[in-house]
Amino acid sequence: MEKALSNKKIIALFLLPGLIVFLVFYFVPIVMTAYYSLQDWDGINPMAFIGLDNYTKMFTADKSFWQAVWNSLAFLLVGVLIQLPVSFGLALLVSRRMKGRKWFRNIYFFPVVMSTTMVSLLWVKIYDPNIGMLNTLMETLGLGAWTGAWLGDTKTALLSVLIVTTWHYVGYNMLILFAGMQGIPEQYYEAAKLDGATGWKAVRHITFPLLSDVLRICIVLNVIYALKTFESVYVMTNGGPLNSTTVIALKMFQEAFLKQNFGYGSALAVFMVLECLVISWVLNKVLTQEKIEY
Amino acid sequence: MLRKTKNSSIYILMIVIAVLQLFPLYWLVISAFKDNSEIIGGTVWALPAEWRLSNFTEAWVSAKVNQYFFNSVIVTLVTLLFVLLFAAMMAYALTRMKFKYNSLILFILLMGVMVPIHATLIPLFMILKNLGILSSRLSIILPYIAVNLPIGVYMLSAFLRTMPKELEEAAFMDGCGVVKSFFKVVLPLLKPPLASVAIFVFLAVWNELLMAATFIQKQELRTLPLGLMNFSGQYSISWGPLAAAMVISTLPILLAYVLFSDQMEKSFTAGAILK
Repeated sequence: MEKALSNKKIIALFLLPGLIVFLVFYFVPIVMTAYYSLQDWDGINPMAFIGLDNYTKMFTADKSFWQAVWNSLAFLLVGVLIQLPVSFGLALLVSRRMKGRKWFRNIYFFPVVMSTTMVSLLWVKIYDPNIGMLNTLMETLGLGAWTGAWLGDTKTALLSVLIVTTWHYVGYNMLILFAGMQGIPEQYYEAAKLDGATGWKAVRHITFPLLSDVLRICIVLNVIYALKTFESVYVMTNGGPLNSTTVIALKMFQEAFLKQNFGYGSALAVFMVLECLVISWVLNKVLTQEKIEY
Repeated sequence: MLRKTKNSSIYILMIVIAVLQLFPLYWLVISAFKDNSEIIGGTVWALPAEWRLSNFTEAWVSAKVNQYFFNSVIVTLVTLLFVLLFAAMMAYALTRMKFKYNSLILFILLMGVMVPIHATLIPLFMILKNLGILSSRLSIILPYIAVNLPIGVYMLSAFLRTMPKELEEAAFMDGCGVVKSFFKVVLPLLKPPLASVAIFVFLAVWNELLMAATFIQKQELRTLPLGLMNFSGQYSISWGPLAAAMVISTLPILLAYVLFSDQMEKSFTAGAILK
């Protein structure tokens, strides 16, 4: 058996098909993006090496880049500061021993499995000033004065998109946190009960600290998801009105495939990768340190 | 007594949240049966006066949702098949077989879990163009396989590491070669984690928009998300047929959810912890 399992030909047979597809269609492109980002290139004519010019342009000359960075930050903040606490609350609710908790969990989770395209198209219609249910509903409830063109107004567009992503993904964090809560031994709560710690006290002193690993995963996940936001914005507003909802991934897509700036688009892509790696690395560092302190 | 009132107020809170989560979907489904005058003039939550199926036939035939549906099915099935097969073979080789570059390959695959796919888009476009397969089904199937392989390999390796070797040893004793014992013994044992991977990949591929929008230019090859997006542009005024199309394209997901919701929960939590 040992001999058969170190047979080079068989190892190659098992590894190569997948590895080749992975390398050619994932790994090599990542490396090429870094290379393209140093070129002035429209995808058709020969490339011209321009060093870091694309990056200089990105950081100093391109105002909509900073707009996109700020918007990504808004997604990040809403993900961590609003979505996550709400998800934590939902996870607490559905982990109570009560009738129908599985039903509630399934209902809260279902939007997660729907595609972002579908959810976005649905909400485009919900927000629609003419046929949308939101304005009609508000009028029915006597809030007619507050109705508006939600996605068409620079004041409300970003917030409207943020509400949709929150609606779409709260169930995701809830499920992960719920799974974590299931892993906490029941005895801890019973022991706490004897010490008079029930309700919030038990949550604060048992659930919360014992869940810190899972919470860290959730924070990192939310941050990365936020930085990668593309579909919801692409489908709902395409970055508008007046760039008020644009994000880095969308900008990269538009620069490359609409304006044929392949070099500059690649620089944006590299920025995205570094942003994800650096922020998740820093978060991991900071959050683990906090844990040791505790 | 206090306990009881507390419980019922919690129930009410949970029901309110459930309504918030479900109401948009309820509106989608009832709109799929309504006509424009009913949608614009009627009460938001009212059931359709008459359950019109015409929106569905219009979406399915005139708006070509049948074609998009077919494309999504083909692309998803082919991707699934290859991801499952390749990931199982790679995970087996990486956990059970003896060779030098084991950890290097795992490390390279880890990059695939960490780096956002957006960063591969521009070079992929050029690679697919140079291979002459841009705007064919292969142009999204190949990247879909590549993108979903790492997570599959990681989920299956985690399972294989905890799996006892006795059954494989017995198969070797009986004179099976590595290949035969892999297909006869290992693959059947891998069923539960394979199901988790399958669900994860099914949802990822069925829902994917970015690559499809970039690499598929032929209208007749569009997948559901891409088809629906363009459809909504053309039918910007009538919501009914679009709603019907969206209901149709969500049905497979709903079906998978009803049948495998436990498996789905497992695959999502496993996938999240790996990411």
